[in-house]
Amino acid sequence: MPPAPAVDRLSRLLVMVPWLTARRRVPLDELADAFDITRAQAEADVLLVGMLGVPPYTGGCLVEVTLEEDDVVAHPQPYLSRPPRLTPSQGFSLLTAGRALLGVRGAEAEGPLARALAKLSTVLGDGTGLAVDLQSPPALPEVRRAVEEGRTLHIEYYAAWRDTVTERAIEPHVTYQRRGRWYVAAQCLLRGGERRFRIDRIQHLEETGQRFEPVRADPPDGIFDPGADATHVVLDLPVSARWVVEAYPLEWEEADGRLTVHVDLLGTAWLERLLLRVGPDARVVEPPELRDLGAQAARRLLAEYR
Amino acid sequence: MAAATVSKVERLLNVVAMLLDSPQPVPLVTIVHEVPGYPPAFPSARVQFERDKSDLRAEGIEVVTSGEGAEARYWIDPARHYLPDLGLDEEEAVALNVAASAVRFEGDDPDEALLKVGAAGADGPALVALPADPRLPALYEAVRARRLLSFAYDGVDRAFEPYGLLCRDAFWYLVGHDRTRDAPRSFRVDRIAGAIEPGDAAAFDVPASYDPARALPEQPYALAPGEAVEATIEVDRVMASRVVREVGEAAVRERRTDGTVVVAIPVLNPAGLRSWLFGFLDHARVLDPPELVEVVTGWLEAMAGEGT
Repeated sequence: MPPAPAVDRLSRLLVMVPWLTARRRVPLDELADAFDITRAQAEADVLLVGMLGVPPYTGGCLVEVTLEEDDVVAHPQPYLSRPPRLTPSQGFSLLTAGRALLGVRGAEAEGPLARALAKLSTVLGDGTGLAVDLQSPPALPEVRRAVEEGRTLHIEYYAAWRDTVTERAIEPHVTYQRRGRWYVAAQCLLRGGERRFRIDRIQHLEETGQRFEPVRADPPDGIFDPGADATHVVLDLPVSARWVVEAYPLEWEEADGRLTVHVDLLGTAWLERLLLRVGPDARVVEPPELRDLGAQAARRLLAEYR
Repeated sequence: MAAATVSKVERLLNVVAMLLDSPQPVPLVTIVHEVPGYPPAFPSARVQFERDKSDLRAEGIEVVTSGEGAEARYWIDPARHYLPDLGLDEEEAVALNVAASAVRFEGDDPDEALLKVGAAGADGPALVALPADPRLPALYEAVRARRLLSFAYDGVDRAFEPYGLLCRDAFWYLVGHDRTRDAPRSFRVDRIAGAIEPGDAAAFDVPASYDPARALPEQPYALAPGEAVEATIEVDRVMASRVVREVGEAAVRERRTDGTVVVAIPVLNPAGLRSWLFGFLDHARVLDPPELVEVVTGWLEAMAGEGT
C-alpha cells in the first residue's frame, strides 16, 4: 500500500494522541481498527507519536506513548493532549446526521442523541435553520420491525417499470435510503433471489406468520442493477429536460443544445412517464421499436378524456 | 538531527506542539533551530517554515503571526485550536456514533469527527446516504450568522437572505428571502453554478418560528407564486392510496366502491400538475376545471401527433 499523504496522517495523529491518552492502554489491533489503518501503519504511527514533543525532546518533554508487546501504552502529558476542533465540514456532517435521525425519531426528543447534540451545540450551533427530510413512507416502521424480528411479509407491490401491481412474499433483510427513496433489500420467496423494493411502492403488507433467522445485511451497492434482461435505450432530449439526468443516475452527454441519454430499461412504463413529462420534443433514438412509444402513450391517455 | 531523518509529519507536529505549548509567541529562529527537520541555512529554513504554515492552514491549523520582519513571532492559540471538552457521557457518545454511522454524506467518512468527540468511530455502511456538496458547511455558516448571500441563479443575480438549508428528495435547497424579487424563494444548491459571495453577519432577521422544512411546497403543482385554482382529479384503485398519502386525507372528495377516489388539490403551476399527473400514467385524470383539462389534453394531442 502506498504511504498516505502527509496531511492525512497529520490530522490523524492529532486525533490519535488524545485518543490514546484517554484510554491509557489499548491493543495495537484496536487502534488500527478505530482509525481504519493497517497494523503496520498503526505501529509506525505509535513510533512517530513517541518522538513528538517540545525542545529539548527529552524525558518529560515528549509525548509518552510506547509500544509494549501488542499494547499501546499512553501516559498523561500536556502536549497535543486534546483533539483539534471539528473542521466546518466535520461539524456539519455530525450535526446533519444527528438532526436527520432526531427528525425520524420524534418521540426521543429527550433521548441521548438529543442530549449529545445539545452538548455539541456549543461548537456546532443548535441546528436552527437546518432540516433533513427523510420522508419515511408509512410502511417503513412495519418493514423495519420485520427486518429486526425476522418476519416474512406478504406485500402488494407496484412495479413501476411495468405499471403493474404484483403480490410477493419476502424475507426483508435491510432497509436503507438512497437518493431520497427508502428501499428494502429482501429475499423474494416467489421468484427467488435477492431483490430491492421501494418501500413507498408497497401498497399493502401483512405478516404471513412465518419467521426466518434475522439477517444482518449491508445495503446493496448502487441503486439500480438492471440485470441481463434490460433493454438498452438511447434518448434525445431538449436541455430543458435536464432534470431527467439530475434525478436518475444515467449516462448522458450534452451537445448542440440536446441531451443524449442512455438507460437500461426493465419495462416501458418508466419510459412512458418520462416521455409524457418531457413532451413532444423528446425522442427515442434506439431501439427502433420504441420510437413511437411516447405517441402511443399519449393516445392511450387521451382516450381517458374522450 | 539531520533534516533527512525527520519526516515532514513529525516536523509539522512538533511545530504545532511547540507553538501550542509556548507561553508566548516564538521567533522564527527558535522554531527552525529547535524543531528537528529544518535545513541548517536560515534562508532555506524560512522558506520551509512558510510552506509548513500553509500546509498547516490547509489542515485548519492557523499559525498566528505578530510583528513583522525580524520581529515576527508565531503561535497557535490553544483556545482556538483545541476542541472544548464536550462532556459527552457513554450513552450520548454511542447515540452520536449510531447517528453518524447511519446517516452519511455520499463519499464522506465520519470516523475522524467521531473520534475527535470521543465516540467509537463509524460502524457499518450508511443506511441513509445524503447528497454531498463542498459548499454546504459555508452555506450553513451563512445561515447561522445571517449573512446576505450574492449569487446567480436562473441567469439572475440575487441578493438572498438565507433562512435555512433543507435536504429533501436527494437535493439540498437554500431557503429564504430573495431581496432581488422581494419574495420567498428556494434554490437548489447544486444548481448554483457560480461563486456564492457571503456578506456581513447579522444582515437580516429570520421570521419568528420559521421552519425550513415547510419552506418548500412538496408537490410540483404548488411550485409557483400567485392564486391557486382548485383542480379535481380522479384516481383509480391502483394509485388511490399513494395519491391520498401525497395530497392528504382532507383533499378526498369522493370514494367509489371500485376503489377509485376523487381528490381536490390547489394548483398554482399547471405545468407542474401535468408532470405530477403523468407520474400516474392512465391511473389518474383531471376532471375539472376545463382550462386545466385543456393543459393536459393539449399536451397529449401534440405528443400524439394530433392538432398543432
